[in-house]
Amino acid sequence: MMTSLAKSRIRYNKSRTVLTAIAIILTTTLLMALGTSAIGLLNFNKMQAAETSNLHGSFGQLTEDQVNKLKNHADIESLEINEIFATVEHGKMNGFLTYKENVKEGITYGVGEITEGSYPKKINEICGPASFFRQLGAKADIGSKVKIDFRVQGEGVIQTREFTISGLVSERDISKLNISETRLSYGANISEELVNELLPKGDRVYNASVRVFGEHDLNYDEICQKINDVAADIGCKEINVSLNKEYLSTVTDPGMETIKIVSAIAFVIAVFSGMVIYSIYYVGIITDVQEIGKLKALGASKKHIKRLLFREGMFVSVLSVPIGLILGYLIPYFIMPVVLKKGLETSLINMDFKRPDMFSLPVLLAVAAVVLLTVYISLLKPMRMAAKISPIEAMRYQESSKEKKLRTGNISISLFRLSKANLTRNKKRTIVTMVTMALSCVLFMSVAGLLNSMRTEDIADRNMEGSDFRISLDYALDDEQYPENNLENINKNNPFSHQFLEQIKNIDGVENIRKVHQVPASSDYPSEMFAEGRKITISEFTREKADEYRKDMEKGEIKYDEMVSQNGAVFTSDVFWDDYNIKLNEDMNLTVYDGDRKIPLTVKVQASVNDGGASILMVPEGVYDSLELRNDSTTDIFIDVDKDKYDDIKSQIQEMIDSQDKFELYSRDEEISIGDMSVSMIKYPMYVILLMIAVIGFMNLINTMITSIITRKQELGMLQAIGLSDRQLTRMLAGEGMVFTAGTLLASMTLGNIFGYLIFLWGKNSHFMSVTEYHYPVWETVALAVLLIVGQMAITFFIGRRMRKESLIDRIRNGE
Amino acid sequence: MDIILETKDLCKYYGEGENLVKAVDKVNIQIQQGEFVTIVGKSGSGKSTLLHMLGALDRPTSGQVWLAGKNIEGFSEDALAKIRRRKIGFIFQAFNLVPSLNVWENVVLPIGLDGRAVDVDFVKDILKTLGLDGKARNLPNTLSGGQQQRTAIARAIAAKPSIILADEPTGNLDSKTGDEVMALLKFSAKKYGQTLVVITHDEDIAQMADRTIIIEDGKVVK
Repeated sequence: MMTSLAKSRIRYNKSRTVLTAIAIILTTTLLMALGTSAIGLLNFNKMQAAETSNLHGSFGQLTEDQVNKLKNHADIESLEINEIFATVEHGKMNGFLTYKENVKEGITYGVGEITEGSYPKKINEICGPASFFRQLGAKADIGSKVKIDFRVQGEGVIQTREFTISGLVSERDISKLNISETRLSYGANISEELVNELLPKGDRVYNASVRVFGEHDLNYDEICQKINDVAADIGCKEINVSLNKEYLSTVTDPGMETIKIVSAIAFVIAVFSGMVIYSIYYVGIITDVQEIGKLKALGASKKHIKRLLFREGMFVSVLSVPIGLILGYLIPYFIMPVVLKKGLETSLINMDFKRPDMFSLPVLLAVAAVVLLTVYISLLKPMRMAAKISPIEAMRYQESSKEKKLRTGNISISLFRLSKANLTRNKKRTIVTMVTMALSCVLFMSVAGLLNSMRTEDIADRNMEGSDFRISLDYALDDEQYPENNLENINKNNPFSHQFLEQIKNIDGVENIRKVHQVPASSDYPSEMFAEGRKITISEFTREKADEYRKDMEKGEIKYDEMVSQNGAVFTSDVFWDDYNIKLNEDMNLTVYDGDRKIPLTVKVQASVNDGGASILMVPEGVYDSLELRNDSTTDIFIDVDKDKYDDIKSQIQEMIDSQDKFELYSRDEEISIGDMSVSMIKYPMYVILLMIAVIGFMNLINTMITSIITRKQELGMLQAIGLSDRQLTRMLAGEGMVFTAGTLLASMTLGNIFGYLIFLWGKNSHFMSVTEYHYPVWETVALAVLLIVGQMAITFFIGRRMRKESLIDRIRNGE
Repeated sequence: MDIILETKDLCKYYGEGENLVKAVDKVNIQIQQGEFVTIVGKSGSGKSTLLHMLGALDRPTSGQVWLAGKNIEGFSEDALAKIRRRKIGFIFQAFNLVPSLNVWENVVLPIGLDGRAVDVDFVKDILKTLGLDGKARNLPNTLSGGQQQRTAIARAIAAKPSIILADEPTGNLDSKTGDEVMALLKFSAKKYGQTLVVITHDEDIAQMADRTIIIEDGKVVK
């Protein structure tokens, strides 16, 4: 009985049914799409991680003895030994020659696998990617000859040798990337014979790539521990162990991090749509009070009424959930490959795209369960409310404030006052609708604040310190064979000459040039930084920069004036604080190299930050100036230009740089394009989720508007009979809708922006997608306002039109 | 006396072919300024349809309605709405008050919709005449049926229309209250010089009128 009544009520309250159905479908779609995408992304990451390389970790700086221990270690499943044998000396090319030996098979790489020919066996054979040979001006064919200048282990004299290409290996397709040569590196393999000939056995330094047993049985921490244990067994220092975290985390862990994030988003979506569904039923109950009262008068019990509403909700769900599940699976099924493919094209990963497996039965069942549960929970209160209605009260019930008898009112009444009176009559309904609407918009604005601050421009800004170009000096610190490459010697005749700077200044559109100074220094301070006489550089910072440091400070404190008087310094690599044995306020005796002069300088590290300057030690300008350097110590210049002339200036600077092989050029557009893809891959899917949330919220507004108009059909008809014109009617309804819109907008602008800023701060602190600067989401705000206003007006227009189709007479008579 | 309301061959048909219903069929009536006319007929005789067309609520299939010397045929919906709030006062069987407005606000509503200033003394006088002077701030749901219908009458009179059209104004009231309301309606229409057209099937009310039009199957028979 209740079942058939529920069915007929579903048909009778068609608009409510449709709205509830849409809300449920959207919720299901959203949750399913989220789950499906997450599964797809996880599987894709696994595929991708394996494509890059399946090695578990690598050990560096190994001796032959350690390598032999490793070969016999019981935990090693696969092992590959390689050593960087020499650096290639060819203009600005970052090239190196390596020797590789596969000891235990099993390690694969996405690139660098032989595609043609074979690995080098003879002393003058070489194999590598085609681009390596092309960079050297040779033909990339098997059997071709190539002459290479190189320095064994990056030291010693430059040697020249002619090689024969024995094989070609696969490589990344970087042709689509707009990145300077200096940002890329190229490697090629040579034979063991060559290594043996040129490098004494004792001088050889090995790296080992390993896979340990138990990839499928261990969790992430366990497998990391196992690798570190192996390293400890052979006496490899922890600092020289590098774990292939990307691969390990994807193979060992079912994506806990992803699962956490996805569950959090899913929870928010479920709570939110629950509120909308609740609000639709709640508003429905208010209008159905009389009908429910009649049912009760006819003998329906509380249980009956509850069951009636419950069945109504479940019928709609049973029809809507499958539609949502199908949509939620199909949308990512078709869209995600497109996005991922695009991502692959612009990233540095070379792999053929394969559609990841995206279907997961547990996800499907979980989504269905969550949605049904959400509908059930949101029905609880309306069910209880309906059950409580007493038949007498219900049939007399009018939608007005029950206790109020008098109303002060006004002498004259206008359209505006009429709308206001109606809204205050349904205070509860008005508030419930406004709260849900506001919630979706607040959510939108909050996340928009973060998304809008996620800008590659900011990342570029940080790298480029706000400028458009940066020209950096390519220098060495400890080159014993070619001391002319060392910074103190380059400084004797610094290429950033007055003439060079003038030339740049004279390019049309160049607005400002800023110089960075660095000077080499050594110390007997007991730290890895200065081990074996190694040098570092020190640089200067301004009072303004000190303020910036203060914001991101990790340790110590910065008092600029005190630092100037006490020779204070800022350590800019906080992550290495312990490794480098740095102590706060301890004297560090430095020797500064100014050309051939040696200047003693004692500094105290007074603060530590992450990522904050040209050098690892920064001293205040005053301290730097007190060194009274005789040579120009400029190492970088930052150039600001007129944006309209950017491209022109870039090509001119590029030309100037090409003739000077000590310069490297960094430009803003390249920095931006490096980060662009990763940002948009997060940003746009998030916006899609937000948009769908906004649509669900909108269902709620539509429902409230429809209910408020349908229930007043007769009243509105009567108003028309006594002279309310169509235009006035539309204006009145639009005015009522505007109140919702205005309230919602107000909440979004205030709460939404506050939350938005808080979320941004969280994102900044947790280094989420490199957000650093808050950008107020202007366009998002405008779009939201326009969407709300236009959408609400459209709803009013359509409902008004539908109502007018019914003749005035019928409407007035409706209640008689 | 001037003719305030006139119909010329007024017809309203519904459906077509075999299902054609002639709700109003070639009705020609004239109503004088200040007259009290009742339209009497059985349920379904077409009297309400006729009243709706007289009040510019509904458009005829053919024929014309002349209101104060003007043919309202071809007027736009908005123009008709304006005529309704200036020239005509409606009273329905269901009291049709706006529940969120108090008695006073309900009464001055048509004036407000027209953007005119409220003649406070005039409205006070009407409320006093109709015995509602103590109820101005009450909300409709606190009033009895008779009081609600008297409020509806006050609303019909307040905008100073030329004609008051009432569709079974006492239909929802008990006979004693109905008589009282009817007497008040007649009295105030006279007092403020308004033409009164009342639809009824109540013989007693018909007796009170200056003239009675009897309608049967959409045709005026007397």
